Amino acid sequence: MSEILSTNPLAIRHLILYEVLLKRTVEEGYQNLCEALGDNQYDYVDYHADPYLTPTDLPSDVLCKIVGELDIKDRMSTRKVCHLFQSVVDCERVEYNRLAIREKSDGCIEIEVNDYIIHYQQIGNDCTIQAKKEEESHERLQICQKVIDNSSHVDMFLNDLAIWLKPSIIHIDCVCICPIPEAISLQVLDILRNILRLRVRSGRILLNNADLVLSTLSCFEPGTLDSVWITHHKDKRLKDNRTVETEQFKQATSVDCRLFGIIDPIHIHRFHHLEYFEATFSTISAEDI
Amino acid sequence: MSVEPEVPIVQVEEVRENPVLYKIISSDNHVFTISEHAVKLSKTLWDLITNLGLTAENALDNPIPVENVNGKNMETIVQFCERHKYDEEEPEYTNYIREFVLPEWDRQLLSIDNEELFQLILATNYLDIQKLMDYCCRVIGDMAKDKTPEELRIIYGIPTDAEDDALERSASDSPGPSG
Repeated sequence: MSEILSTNPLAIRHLILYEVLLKRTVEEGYQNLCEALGDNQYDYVDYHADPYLTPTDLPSDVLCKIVGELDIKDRMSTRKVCHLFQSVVDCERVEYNRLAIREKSDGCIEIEVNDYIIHYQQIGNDCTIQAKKEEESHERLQICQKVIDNSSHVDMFLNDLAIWLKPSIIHIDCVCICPIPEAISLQVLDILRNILRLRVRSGRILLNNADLVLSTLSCFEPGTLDSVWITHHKDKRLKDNRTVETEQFKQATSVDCRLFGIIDPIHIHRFHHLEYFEATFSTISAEDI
Repeated sequence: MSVEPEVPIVQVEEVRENPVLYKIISSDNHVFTISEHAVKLSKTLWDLITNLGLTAENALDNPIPVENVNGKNMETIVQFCERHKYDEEEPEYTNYIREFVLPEWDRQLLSIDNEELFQLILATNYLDIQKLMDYCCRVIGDMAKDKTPEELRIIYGIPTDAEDDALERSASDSPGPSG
C-alpha cells in the first residue's frame, strides 16, 4: 500500500489535504504522512511547501464562470469528473442557441442541442445512441456511438434531456418541439416545468394536441419570448381563447399561429400589439382590420 | 494677430505617460508600482485607495499591503493591468455567454502551469479584476475542450469520488500522533 502511495503524487497530495482539513499542524501532518508512506519517502520541505491547489479548491462562483466557458459536450464531460463539478454544472445557468426535439419516421427520437445532434434508436432490447456534430460547412460528423443494453430509447432520451435541462435558469435562443408521441410530450413537459426560469426567445411548438401546445408555451418565461410559432390542427376551430390570453402571447412581438386552428374574429384585437402575425380567422371584415 | 493660448497644450500621450503611481506590497514583501489607470481595473485595490484617501501627492509614500497575493502573482497582475489600462469598458452583456477572443499576448501571459494558474485565479478573485478573471476562466475552459472525464481528472489533478473516499478512509484509519 505504502509503495503504491509513494509513487502516486496525487494520492500524496490528498493525504496532505486531509491532514490540512483536520487542522493538524505541519509537523503532525508530516509525521502521519511518513507513517503512511514509510520514512524518508517524502521531504519535509516539500510537505511544507506543497500548495495543493486544484480547480476544486476554487470558489464556487469562479467554478461557475469556468463551466460557463464550456460547450455542451465539454460540460457533460466535466460533470462526470466529480460530485462537486456535477453540482456546479447542474446549478450553473446555461445558454443554448438551439434545442430541438423530434421523432423521425423510423421511430427514433432526435434531439439537437446547439451544434450536436443525438439520435436515440431502439434496436431489439437495446438503445443505440449516436451523436453527431454539425460543422460550419453544415456537414454532420459522427463523434460517438454507443449501445446501452436492455434500455428503452425513450428512457435514455428523457434521462439525457433532464440532465441538459437541469439548471434552474436556462436561456434558449430557439426551442423547436416537433410532433412526438403524446406520452413522451407529457414527460418532456414535466422536465420543462421543473426549470425555474426557462427563458426562450423563439418558441416553435408543433404538437398535435392544443392543450399540450398551451402547457408547453406556458413553461416559457413571459417577456423573454419574442417569437411564437405554434401549430396543432389547422382545420379545427379553436374551442376557447386560452392561446391569446397567455402572457407569453400578450408579450410576444411576432406570432405565427395560422396552423394552430381557426380563430374567431372577436379575438382579433388580441393581435393588435404584434409587429407581425400570421393567423387563420373564420371570417374577417374590413372593420376587424 | 494671433493669440497664444494661456494654457499649454498637453498631448494626450504625454498625460498617459505621467500617471499617478501607487505602491503595492505583496505577501512576500515585493514592492510593485502601478499606475492609477491600471489599479482601477482591480475593484478591491481601487476601493482601498479611495477609502484610504490616497492622492497623487501621498500615494507613493503609503504602500498598500496585499497579504493574500504573493509577488509572482502580483507581477502577472500588474503586467496585465498595465497592458489593459486603456481598454474600452466592457459592454453590458445581454447573454450569459461572454463572447470574446482571448488576445495572444494574454494567452502567452497565462501560459503557466495549472497550479500557478489556480493561484492566480484566487488572487484575481480577491483583487476583483473582472477581465483577468474572464481570461483565466477561458484558459481553464480551453483545457477541457474535447477531453474525456478521465483526461480531465489527470489535467486538473482531481481523483475520482471513489478514490477520494478511499483516501479519506485510509487517512482517517491511521491514528494521528495524538491518537
